[in-house]
Amino acid sequence: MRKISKLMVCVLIITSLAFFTGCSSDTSVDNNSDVAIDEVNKEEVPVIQAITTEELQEKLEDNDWIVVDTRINDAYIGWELEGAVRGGHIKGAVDFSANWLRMEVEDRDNLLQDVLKTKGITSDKNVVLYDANGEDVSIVAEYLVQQGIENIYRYDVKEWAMDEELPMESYPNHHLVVPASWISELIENGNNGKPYKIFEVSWGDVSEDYLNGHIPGAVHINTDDVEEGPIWNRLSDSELEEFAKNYGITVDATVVLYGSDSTPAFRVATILKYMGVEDVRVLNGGFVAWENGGYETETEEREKQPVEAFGATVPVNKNYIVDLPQAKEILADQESSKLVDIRSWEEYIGTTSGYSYIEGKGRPAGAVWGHDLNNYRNIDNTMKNAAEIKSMWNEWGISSDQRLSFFCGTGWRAAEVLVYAEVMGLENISLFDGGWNEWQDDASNPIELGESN
Amino acid sequence: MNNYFHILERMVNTMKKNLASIVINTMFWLIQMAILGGVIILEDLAGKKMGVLRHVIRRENIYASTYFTPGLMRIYIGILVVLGIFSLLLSVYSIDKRKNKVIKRWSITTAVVNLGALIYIVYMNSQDLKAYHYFLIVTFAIVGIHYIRLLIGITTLKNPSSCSK
Repeated sequence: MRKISKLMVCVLIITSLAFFTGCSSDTSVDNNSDVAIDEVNKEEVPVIQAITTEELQEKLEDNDWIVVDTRINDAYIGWELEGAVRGGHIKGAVDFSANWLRMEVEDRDNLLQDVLKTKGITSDKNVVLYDANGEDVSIVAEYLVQQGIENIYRYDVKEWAMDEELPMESYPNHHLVVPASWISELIENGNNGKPYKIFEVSWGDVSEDYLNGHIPGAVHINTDDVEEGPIWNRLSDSELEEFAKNYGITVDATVVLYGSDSTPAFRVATILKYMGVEDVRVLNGGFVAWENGGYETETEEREKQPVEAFGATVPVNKNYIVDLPQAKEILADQESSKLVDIRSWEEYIGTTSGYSYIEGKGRPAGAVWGHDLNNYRNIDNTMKNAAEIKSMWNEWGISSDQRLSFFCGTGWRAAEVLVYAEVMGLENISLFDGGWNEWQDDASNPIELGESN
Repeated sequence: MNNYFHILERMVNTMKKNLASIVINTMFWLIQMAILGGVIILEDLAGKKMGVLRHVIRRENIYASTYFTPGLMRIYIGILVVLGIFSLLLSVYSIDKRKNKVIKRWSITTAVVNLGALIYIVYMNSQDLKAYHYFLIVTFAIVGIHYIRLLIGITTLKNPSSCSK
C-alpha cells in the first residue's frame, strides 16, 4: 500500500511538472508570435505625428496643407457617428474614406489615384488625416505612404466636434441617405413606436440576393409595381395609392429603402416622396454598407402587410416629378432653369441610345449634360462630395439657384441624383419622369446630336 | 448474276433516297425547334432580365400597332381557316385515293399544325405571354414551313414508292 502511495505521488509530481513546463513553453511561443506581429505592424503602419486643434486651425487656411476626413461617407455628410458630438466634416476638409480602400472593385488602384488627384491630396502637401475611431487614419496613411505621400499628420475629430466654436459642415438634408448603423438602431428601438417599413428594392420577383440575406424585416419591392411600359413612367396616382396600401406604406411612416444596387431604391424613393410619404430614407452605399458593417441579416421572405388607407391624396408633392409639358417649359427658360441630362457622354451626344428598347439617339434640344451617375458616387457607391458635384455642374452652367429637372433614359439614374441634390439643400428640383425614352418617342420633339455649343 | 447486281443497285438507290429524306426531315424539324426554342428562351429571359423584358414590351407594342392590329389578325385567322380546310381536304383525299404516303403524312401534320396555330391565336392573348407577338411570328413561320414542305412534296413526289418518310 505504501509503495502504491509513493508511486502515485511520483506520478503526480511528474505530471504536474510536465503540465507547467508545457504551459510555459506555449506562452513563450505566443509571446514570440505577438512580437513578430507587432514588428510587422510597425513596418506596415507608418509613424505619423499627431497635430493639435490649434495647429490644425492654423493649417486650414494654408495652401500647403490639406485636411482629409477618413471616416465613412455618412459621417462626412452630417451624421454624428463614432462618438463625435457633432456630425459633418471640418469646414474645408476633403474626404478620402478608409472604407474605399476596403472595396474590391475593378481598376481600384487607378480609380483611387484619380480620386487623390481630384481632391488635391498630393506628395507636395502636408496631409492631416482625421478620424474618430483611431483606425481609419492608419489605413489611409498606409495607403498614402505607398503613393509617395510622406508628410502625414493625424487628428481626432472628436476634439474638434466638442468645441461648438469650431466650424463643421453638414449637408442640409443628409438625413435622406442613412448609414447602416442608423437602420440597425431603428430596428432595435422600433422607431420609438412610430410606424416604419424597410424595403429591399430591385426589378422582378424576389431575387437571389434577397433570399441569400437581407436586412431583418425587409420586404421586397418590384420596381414594376410603381412604373409601367413602354415609356416606364410612374403609375397613375390612383394606382400608386393602391401600391402604397398594398405594401403597408402610409404617409406618416418612416420608409427605408435599399438594394444591392441603390438606383432602384432611389427610383422608388422619388416616387414615394412625390406621393407624399414624409420620411423616406435610402441606405447610403447600398446593401454592401450593411454587410460590411457586420450587421445581422435574415433569409426569411417577408410578406407585405397591407393597410386600409395611405393617409393622403396622391400626389402631395406634385412638382417633385414632372412630365413632358413641364420639361418643355424648363427648356424654354434657359436663364433660370435647366433640364439636366444624367446619362453617359455617349448617350448625350447621340452615339448610342443606351438601351436596346430605345431607338432614338441624342438629347432633347437645349438639355445640358449633368454627367453620368458614376460621377455622383464614391468608390463604395456612397454619395460624392457636394463640392465636387457643384464643380461638375458649373462646367455646364448648372447652378443651385436655378430650377433644375433631372432626367435619364427612364428615370432611375436621375432619381438618385435628384435625391443627392436634395441632400445638398437644393429646393427647386424635380425628376423629368419620361426622360429620353418619352422625348424621343414623339418625332415632333426637337433633338440635338453631337457636342453642345 | 446480272439480276442480283440490279437488285443491289436498286437497294443502294433506295438507301440514298432515304438518307436524303432523313437529312431533309431532320433539318426541317431542327429549324422549327430552333425558332420555337429561341422564342421560349426569350420568354424565359423576359421574366429574369429587366432589359430583355423592356425590349420585348417595346417590340410587342410596335408589333401590336403594325403587323398585328385587330384587323390584320382577323385576316390572318381567315387565311389560316382557308389553309386549314385545304390541308384537311388534302389529307382526306390522299387517304381516300391511296396517294403517296409522304404527301399523306405531310398533309395530315400540316393540318394538325394549322389547327394548333388557329387554337393558339384564338385562345391566347398578350396577357398570357410576355413575348406573345414573337410567339405569333414563330407560329406563322412554322405553319408556313409546313405548307412549303407540302407544296414541295406535291410538286416533286409523284411516285408513291419514291420516299417512305
